[in-house]
Amino acid sequence: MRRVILIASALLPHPIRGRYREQWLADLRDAPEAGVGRGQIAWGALAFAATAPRPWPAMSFDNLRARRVGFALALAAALLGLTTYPGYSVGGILPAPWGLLQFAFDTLVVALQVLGPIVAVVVVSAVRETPWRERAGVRMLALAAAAPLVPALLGRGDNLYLYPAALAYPAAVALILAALGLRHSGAPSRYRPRAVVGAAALVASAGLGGVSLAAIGWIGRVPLVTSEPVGSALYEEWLRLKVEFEQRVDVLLVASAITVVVLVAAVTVIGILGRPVSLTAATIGAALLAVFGSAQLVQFLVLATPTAGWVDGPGVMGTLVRLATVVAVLATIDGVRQRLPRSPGAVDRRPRTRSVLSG
Amino acid sequence: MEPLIRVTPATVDVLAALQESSDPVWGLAIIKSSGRPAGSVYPILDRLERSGWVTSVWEDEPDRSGPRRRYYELTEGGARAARPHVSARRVAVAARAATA
Repeated sequence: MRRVILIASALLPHPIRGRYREQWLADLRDAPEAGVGRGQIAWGALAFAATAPRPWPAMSFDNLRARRVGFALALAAALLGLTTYPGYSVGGILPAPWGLLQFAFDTLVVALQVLGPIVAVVVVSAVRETPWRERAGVRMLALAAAAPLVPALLGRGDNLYLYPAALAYPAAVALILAALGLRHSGAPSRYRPRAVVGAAALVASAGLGGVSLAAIGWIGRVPLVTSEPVGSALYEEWLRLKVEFEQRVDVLLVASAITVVVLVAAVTVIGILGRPVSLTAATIGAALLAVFGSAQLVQFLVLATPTAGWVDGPGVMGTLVRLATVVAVLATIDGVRQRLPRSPGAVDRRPRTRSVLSG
Repeated sequence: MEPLIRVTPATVDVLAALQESSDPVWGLAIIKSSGRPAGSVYPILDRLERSGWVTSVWEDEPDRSGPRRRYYELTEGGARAARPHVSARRVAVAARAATA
């Protein structure tokens, strides 16, 4: 039973964990004296732990900022990683089962691209206390993320809307991060997790929509990768190299994309639960992304050179951006010392009362 | 003190258990006297405390080693707000007993 109590208290948010652990252990010890079953105490503790409200924990300003910035940047890093796949899978010819995976993943990408901005704008608009910077940033990102839909609606051709949209991404992300991280508010807010989820959804949409399109656009400008064949023999040779290259690259990219999706889900869930371990999760996620990023950087440099003297510029640039984001995440998380509030049990200095049951 | 959005029969039982004693009451004693399971009483006490109806303190029992008990009592506003709920509950229980 004691172990159940310890597990139940471990499930609670950090600020109240110590208090309830001590209270329940005392209740468990004295349950026979009070004529209450020990199993009932353990069950009650578990039920409480499962249903306890988890407001955004009251933290010092530094912790609040570190948590928000770290969480947001971790998601951004994960999503930047995610965008690499759709950018480079376009035009790929994949054997089964990778083709099926590509189809499934592209479907997910499109769904996120369409639903992400809608969800984020609705969520942020519903929160009355959302600061103006966050509102403005989210709406700006929603417009930017809608850029990929314009050519689909208007037909093929140059999408001039994409260029201002690309400029809107960093501005909007800066606004959101400023609102999430730099707002001086010590008051817990039950709406804040929803705001973070909304902003994260926007970052996802922005990344998926903008970076992938930008990468595709850059690829299209590279003479070697153009679909205009110089000569049939050269074109056949190029196509053979391209298919061979993309088959090898896509296997790794599919694997990394699946891993990134899992990481994003894990970081999001843990972050929403409001536990201090979210920082740890973000660190692990960022470190894993760094590993994938490094692997892909090497692969792009080595494999993306079908002819001498040619380097996959978008691939290298995209990977460097991802790595820089990961470095920012790690620096932010590790650079701020944690000053979590002590548990109520540890700081309780109020006058103690006499026991009414112990006589 | 915040008003409670929903005052369930279990909440009223907990309020009644707290109201019956002029001293702070041990959480386990509330479980026993209210007749409600711990899985209901713990969340109710937490909700009452967050809403300002109840305060809690650690026991002061130097002779007892190990983890300390937690004692609860109604705040002044909580006691005032609880009174009509507890009275209404008693009336309803008495009416049911009379018709049975």
